[in-house]
Amino acid sequence: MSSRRDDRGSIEPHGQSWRTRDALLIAVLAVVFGFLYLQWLPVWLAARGLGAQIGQEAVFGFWLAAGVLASYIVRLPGAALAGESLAALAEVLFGAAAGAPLLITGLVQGIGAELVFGIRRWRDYSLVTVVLAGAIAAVVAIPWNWFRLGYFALDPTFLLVLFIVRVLSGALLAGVFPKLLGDALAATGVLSGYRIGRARSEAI
Amino acid sequence: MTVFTYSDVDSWLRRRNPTAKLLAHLTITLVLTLVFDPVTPLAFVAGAFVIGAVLGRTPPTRLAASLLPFWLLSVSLVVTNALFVNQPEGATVIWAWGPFTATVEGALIGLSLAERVAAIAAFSVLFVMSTDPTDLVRSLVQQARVPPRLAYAALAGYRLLPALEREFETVRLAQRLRGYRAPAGPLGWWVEQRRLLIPVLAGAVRRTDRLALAMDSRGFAASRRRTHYRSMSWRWPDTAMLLGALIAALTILAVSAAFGILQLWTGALSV
Repeated sequence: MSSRRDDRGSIEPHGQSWRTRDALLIAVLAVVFGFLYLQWLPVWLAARGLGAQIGQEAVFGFWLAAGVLASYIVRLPGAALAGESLAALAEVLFGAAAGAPLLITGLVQGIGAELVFGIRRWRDYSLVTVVLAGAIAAVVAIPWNWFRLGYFALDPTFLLVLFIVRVLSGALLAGVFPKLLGDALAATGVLSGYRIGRARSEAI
Repeated sequence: MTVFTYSDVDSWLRRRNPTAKLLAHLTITLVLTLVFDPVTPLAFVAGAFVIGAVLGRTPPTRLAASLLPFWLLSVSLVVTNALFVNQPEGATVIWAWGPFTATVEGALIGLSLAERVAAIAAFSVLFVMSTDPTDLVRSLVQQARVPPRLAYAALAGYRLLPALEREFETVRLAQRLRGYRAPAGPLGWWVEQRRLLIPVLAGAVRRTDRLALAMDSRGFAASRRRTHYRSMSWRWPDTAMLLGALIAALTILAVSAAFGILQLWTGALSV
């Protein structure tokens, strides 16, 4: 296996395999987001008071952001799935009320974004792709989320409204938001050792 | 929200394999999601209290206190479901105004969902209070075959969080010291979070890089065949607990059905 060392002493990514620092960064981002995800629960509960299930679906997208952000920075296969799953594991460790089923939730909520990035071979991270990843992640997670919340007992027309709100929420909170956050972080220069940083320096 | 943490009290539940506990918790929850009547979930809540007291040495008062926030949630669940549930034929109308019709059937489904949340939360509290996070990760690597690189990275991240919380406060105070005041209103709140989030996350990335270097230099995950400092074991009580959870959950459903109480997710309620 040939690999060269970059200026920071760490081994360059060889092909599409993970280095220790990639796994660690995904995990640290996931833990931070697991913590933020728990803080988001009161927001979600309050949203029900304001706009019933519509309000809740409008803020739901935030719970899909960790996977998209992890993939946006690391740009390797499996990053979105791992990022979202580990965020769920962190939530369980922090004592989330939803408990162990969150692990399934994490997997399900990571699949959609992973699919979109995978179709683009983990090379295309333009705004359109990232927004699409957020929206598709929101759609793919619907059967499991709505089954657990008991939404399928709701009126079909009402469900259609919920679907549209959810797609928009995914596109914004799990698409535009992670991209803005990733770009702001890359602008500080700390991500120069990761693929997002390299993409930036090539652009310059 | 209250964060429940691991309490180092020895108990039968504490000695069980964390992966087995996770699977048992998952089993109970999946059975519970089939239930749509407002009585059966209460049996699960009661079960959690009994298991907590007998096997987990968790005082019922402590478990009850941890469930308090969920009773607030239940009120909103009852109201919104009464209004928006897909009404079956001949539903009993309580109140109607314009496009809104509230029914008894809808309210009962809402109550059932609220009790479900409470039951899952009760088992979740039992799990977290009886499981050392480090043991959970060890068990996930050794029993559930989660890749060590990822699992131990998650543990490292978990350990990093208290440091990040301190850093968050440090950055906030540093910005205050330099005379930064966030503008008022919700937009100001967002601006302040953004100003804090970026330096804290940048600091986290730097820590991560140092940690990765340290792990690499010690040959972490360099070989697929590895040994473990502490080995976790899966013994027969773990299997018994898992089977017991499944049998107990199904028994509750069977007894409830025998009394004609049980209502599953029927076609009449679905889309």
